[in-house]
Formats: sequence, C-alpha cells, structure tokens
Amino acid sequence: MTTTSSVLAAAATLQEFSLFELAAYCEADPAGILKVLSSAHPLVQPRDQPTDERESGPDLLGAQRWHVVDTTGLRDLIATSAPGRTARAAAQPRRKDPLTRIRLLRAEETLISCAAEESADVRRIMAATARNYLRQFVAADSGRSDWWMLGADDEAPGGGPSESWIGPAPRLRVDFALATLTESEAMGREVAGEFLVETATDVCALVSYVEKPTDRGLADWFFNLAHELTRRPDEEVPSSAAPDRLLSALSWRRVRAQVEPNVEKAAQEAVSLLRWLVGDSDDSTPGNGAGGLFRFLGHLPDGRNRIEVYSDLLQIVPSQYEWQPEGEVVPGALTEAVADSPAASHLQQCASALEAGLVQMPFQSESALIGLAAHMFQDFAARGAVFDEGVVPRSNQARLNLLGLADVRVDRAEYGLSTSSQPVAAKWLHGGGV
Amino acid sequence: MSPVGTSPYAGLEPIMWRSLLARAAVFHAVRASLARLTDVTDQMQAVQLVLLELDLLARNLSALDCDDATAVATVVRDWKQVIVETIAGKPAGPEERTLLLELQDRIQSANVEDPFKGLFESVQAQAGALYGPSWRPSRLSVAHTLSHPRNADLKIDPYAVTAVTHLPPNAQAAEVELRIFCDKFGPAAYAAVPMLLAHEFVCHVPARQDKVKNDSDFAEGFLDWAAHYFLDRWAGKIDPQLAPAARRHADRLKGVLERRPDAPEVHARAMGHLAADNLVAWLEGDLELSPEESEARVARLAVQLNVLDRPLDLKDRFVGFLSCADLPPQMQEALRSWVADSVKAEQLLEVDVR
Repeated sequence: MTTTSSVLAAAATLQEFSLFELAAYCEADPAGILKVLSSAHPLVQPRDQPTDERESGPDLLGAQRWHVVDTTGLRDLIATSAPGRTARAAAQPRRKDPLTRIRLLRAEETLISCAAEESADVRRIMAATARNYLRQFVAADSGRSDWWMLGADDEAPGGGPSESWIGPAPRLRVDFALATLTESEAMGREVAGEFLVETATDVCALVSYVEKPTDRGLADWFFNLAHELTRRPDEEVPSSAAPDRLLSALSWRRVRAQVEPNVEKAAQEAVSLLRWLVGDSDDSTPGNGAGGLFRFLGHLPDGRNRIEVYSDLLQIVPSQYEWQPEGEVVPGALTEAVADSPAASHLQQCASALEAGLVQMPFQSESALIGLAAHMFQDFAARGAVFDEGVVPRSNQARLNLLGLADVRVDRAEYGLSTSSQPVAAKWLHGGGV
Repeated sequence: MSPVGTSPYAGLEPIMWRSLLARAAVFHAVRASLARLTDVTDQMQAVQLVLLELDLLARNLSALDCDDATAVATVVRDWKQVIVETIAGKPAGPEERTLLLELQDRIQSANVEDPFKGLFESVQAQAGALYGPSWRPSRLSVAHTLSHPRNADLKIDPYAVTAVTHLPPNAQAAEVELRIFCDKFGPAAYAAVPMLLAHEFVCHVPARQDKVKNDSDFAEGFLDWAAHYFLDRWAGKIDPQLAPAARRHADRLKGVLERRPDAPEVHARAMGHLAADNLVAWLEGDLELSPEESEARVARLAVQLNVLDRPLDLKDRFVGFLSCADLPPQMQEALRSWVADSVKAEQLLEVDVR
C-alpha cells in the first residue's frame, strides 16, 4: 500500500470530505494528503477556492472540503499508483467455510439470548439471524452455496419446517423449530399444537444426553415459548376456563423449575403437558375444558374412588383420610389418585370452592390465579386442622411454593417455616397420603 | 503529577499507581525499542534479567512514601544501573549488547508525564476526527485488577491489561477504563494499550446502542475489524516511536483473543471479522475495487452503522448475512446500490431474506 493509493482510495470511499476526515483513513497527515489530492486534480477538487496554507494556517486547510469529480478515473489512477496490487479476479474457487461449527453455536447462542430480550420486534430479528446461521450451517455441511434458498418454499402448515433437508438430528430440528417458534410468538402468530408436541419430543431426545451447556438454555427457551404459545391473552380467556388455566400455569412453571436440576425430566413433563393441552378435541382452550380441578372417574370394587384432582390439594388432606397417587395427568398440576370416600369428598369440596373463587376473580392473569389458590389454601387448612393439626404446616409449605411460582417474595418465618436456604420457587411436592 | 499519598485515578491506590507509573514511564521512554524487546526477550537471558529487575524495582516502591517524580526517578536511576552492570557483565551476543545499549540510552528520556493519558488523548483525537459530529467525548480511568484478565499464562498471553467503556445514563460522555494487572504489566502489555484504546474508541464510545451485548457480532466483531484497520493507519500519528510495537502487538493480541476457548464473545469476534473480510473480498472480486478502497469502504460502513439509532440485533443480522462468502442476491444488489451512493448505509440493514 503506498501513501498515494491509500489517500486516493480513501477519497474514492468518502467522495466528499475535509482533509481531517480523510486523514482518519490513511497514515498521511493533512499536508501529505493535500499533495496527493493536488496531484490527482481534476479527478478530485476542492469545493472552495484553493487556499494558500501560508495565509490560512493548517487548521483551516484541514477543514477545507474536497469532493471526487470522477470516481472511475480516480479508480484507474489508484490502480496505476499501486500496480503490484490488483483486485482479485471475480471468479474464485469456492472457499471452504472456516466457521461452519461456529455458525451452529452462534445460532444457538442467539436463540438462548431471546429469553432476555423484552422487545418482540427485536426477538423477531434475532430469530431471523439465528435462522440465517442455521441455513448457512446446513448449506456448508452439504456443499451448497445458496443457503438463503434452504427452506424458503417448504414450511409446513402451522409454521413448522417440513424439512427433509434438516435431517434426523434432533439438535438441528430443535434449533430450526425454536427459530420458527420465536418468530411466531413475537408476531402473535398461532402455532399448530402438533408441531409443539413434535418439538418437545425432539427436545427430549436432545437433552437425553446433555452435550453442551447450551442444551439446557435451548430447552428452557422452548418451554418458555411453548408456554406463551399455548395460552391465550388474559382478556380473551373466559372466566369459566380459569381452573384449567391454573393447572396449565402451574405445570409450565414447575416444568421450567426442573430445567436446572433435571432437564431430562423437565422435557418429558413438557411432552405430557403439551399432549394434554393439545388434547383430542378441536377446542384450543388449554386442557380442552375437560374436568377442572376435580373429576370423579369411578368406583373401585373395594369401595375406594378413582379421582383426578388438582395435585396441591393432596398435600392438605387430613392424615386420617386415605389416598394414594396413581400417576400424573398433567405434570405438577393434576394427579390421578385413589382415595377413600372421606378423602374424595374433602378434595371435591376444596376443589369446588377453589374453582368458584377462580371463576369469580376479576383478574385472570396466571399470577393472580396462583395467588388466589395460595390464599384459599389458608381456608382449606383451617377446615382440615379440625381433624389433623399437621394440615396447617403442610398448607403453609404448599402456599409458599405457590407464591414462589407466582414470583412473589415471601418471608418464610411468616409461614412458620425455617429460614434455612431453600429455593422460593417451588419444588414439586410428591404425594403423601396413606 | 500526584503528590505523596494520592493517585490521579480513583480506582487505583496511590502505591499501585506509583508502581504502574514507574513501569509505564520506562516503557514509554524505551518505546522505540519495544518491538524488538518483546520479540527477543525469550532468547536473551540478560534482557530477561533486566526486565525482571525492573519488575522488582517497581514493586519495591511500595516501601517508599514518595511522589510521582521521586518514584519514577528512583526506578529509572536504579534500572539504568542494572543495565550498566549487565552490559559490563558481557552478555552473550552482539545483538543483546546492542539492545541493552539502546535501552541505556533511551531511558535517559524518561519523565514523570502520565503515558496512559498521553496515549488516551492521542487515540481519542484520531477517533474524534473519524466520527466527527457523532463523536462522544470521554475521559480516562485506570484501575488495578488482582489477576490477568483472561487468567492466562503470561508466556502465551502477556497482555495483562484490558479496557471497558462505561456509558452513563445521560450518554453525553463516556468513561474508558483501563484495567491493569499491575504486577505483571510488561512491555508487551504497554505496547497493546493503543489497540485496546482504539477498540474502545472505534467500537463503543460513539456507539448508538439499545443494549450492552458482549457477544454482538457487529459491536465486538465487525467493528473490531474496523478498529484494527484504523489503528494500523493511526499508529504513526499517535506515537511514531511506539508505532511498530503498537502494530505488532495489536496483531498478536488479536491472535491471543482468537485462540480463547469457546465462548459467545469469541464466536462473535470471529464472525464479525469474517464478515468484514468477506465484504472486502466481494468488493474486490465483484465490483473490482482496489484492495485499499475495498477495505476503506468496509471500515467506513462499520463507522456509519455504529452511529445509527437502530437495534443492535438488526446490525448483528446484517453481519450474519456477510459472514457467509455467498451473499444472497438481494444483499448483493443492495451493496451495489450502496457503493454507487444511491442507497444509504441504513438501508442495508433492512435487507432480509426469508
């Protein structure tokens, strides 16, 4: 690079400039630049009348403005002033992409960063960036140059990519799905329930052997998106759907709380939750409004009752009553159990009271619903304490966990609990009983 | 100059400041020899010993309760004596002897002026001229850290210094902070200071950003490429004697940072640099611009985009497009229009492919 070629190249770049401005792009100082520009006249000319440095001083000289009159001529002059360096030929052998692996990492890092981005518009841009990196990765891997054409024409109905070109690897399927879901959520677009279930299954496969720190981040972001995409705006949800909305809210929050300690379990629970949400009916209301917080399923030959019940209520059944869990219908929210008649009756009364409270609540946000449940547990504890004093501390623990899920900070001492460290966000309490 | 018991920088205790000033004053005085000094230290035992003695002398200042002038004068006097004795002890080869004689000669010019402030003002002047009306004035602060910024082996990564920019809420002025691991601040680290400052001034001080993002392909990658471009051109104007060492250690620091273990900020830097290189190659190959004009245009584009009030993620998306050597037709068309001056740089951010 010669001084002449660098000065002229900077001039061609800036087109109109002062000597001070042009000096930022080359090693020469304004005096040296002036010599070069003067030698390039008339291709480059001062805007003002040329000044005499002796009269005007270097500052004024540096501030004088110049402009390029003939860019083509200037470029010819650049070429002759640095003859050893010519532009590369247009036809170049295709270089192997040096950063193929990093593209996949950048895509995933970008997707995970979406969780911290508050602006929907920006999340949409980030999703596009991630998708571009993913397509570049796939193209590089398969030797294609037109990465922008990958997937351009074959998105599946409901937004899921139909891509045979992605291949079976769960990682890529999850990454592409997350880019699509991020964009859909940001734009308020609906997504097919089946696509969410398929993606959840792929997430399960991805985290069944956690290879990288990003795997947890991807899973968490998926759960976050799936939660948002499966719930309707607060103002659109009829109050009659409040019980199922509570179940869905609790289940999603508990799934996300599992990511750190056991992401594989969280992913399995997410699949179950989504299958329940998507359901068999066409109704897109979460949980398809099937049973609310309590459902009687049938009698057993021994006189016990098979029931479905909101899981937290099982913690405050008086110990004199008998019950045992049979399985989770909705992870962390709805349990199938077998209970004796007093237990079933107690649970039904609590569930009915809670449902009535939820339906009548003027605020239908998820946090408000969870908060109401926590509040009503106090009443249930009072009733249960007549039979079993142990109901009260169990109720306090359950309330504390619920408030944690609703992101409410509490003083554990107020609830008669020790202040030794325990996460406020709920650990899911698994069944006691008989 | 700071009186006894004071330091010009709030984040630096007086004792640590004196020790740092003494080292920096020495490196500044011998800066014309720094490039060779840092290249040959491993092979020249006598030079190694002389540098170790300087380290000891600087540390021993903690026992002295003195002002800046006394601190610098003490270290310079004692170090010069070390050099004299080392030369008298007949070091191994003529090259080593020549270097030691150079150091002995150059150390005479050591003074108590704050070299960090001098470098800061010089680099800022260049960056201010670059950004023009978009420039945001800044001030320097220096702080001491308890460990190497990358917890690295000094033999592989001698750059015991890093820099960050703080943009206060009113965004009228910025603070550029040099964070120095004082006890291991050596000649290579000093020579890297211009590049660190150039990075902060080109990438961050004037940036119009809606968020702080340490792994931005644009802010930490594409703009870093531009910072290297500008430092290469400014080095002689910042300090002609330091220029060879500043350029050399700018390159080496870049290599050190590229070889860090996997991390989002490492990937961002790689992507951004690749994007800039790709754009240069495209301008040369497809539009047949000269290498000099191609590089100048990419550097200018980085500067123009940096001061646009648009989301940082939009700028990152643009860099993502460029990071692949194969540019989509829409992007190529937009770039041709931009080179022809029929669209502004901002419109390049709107290009999207589905």
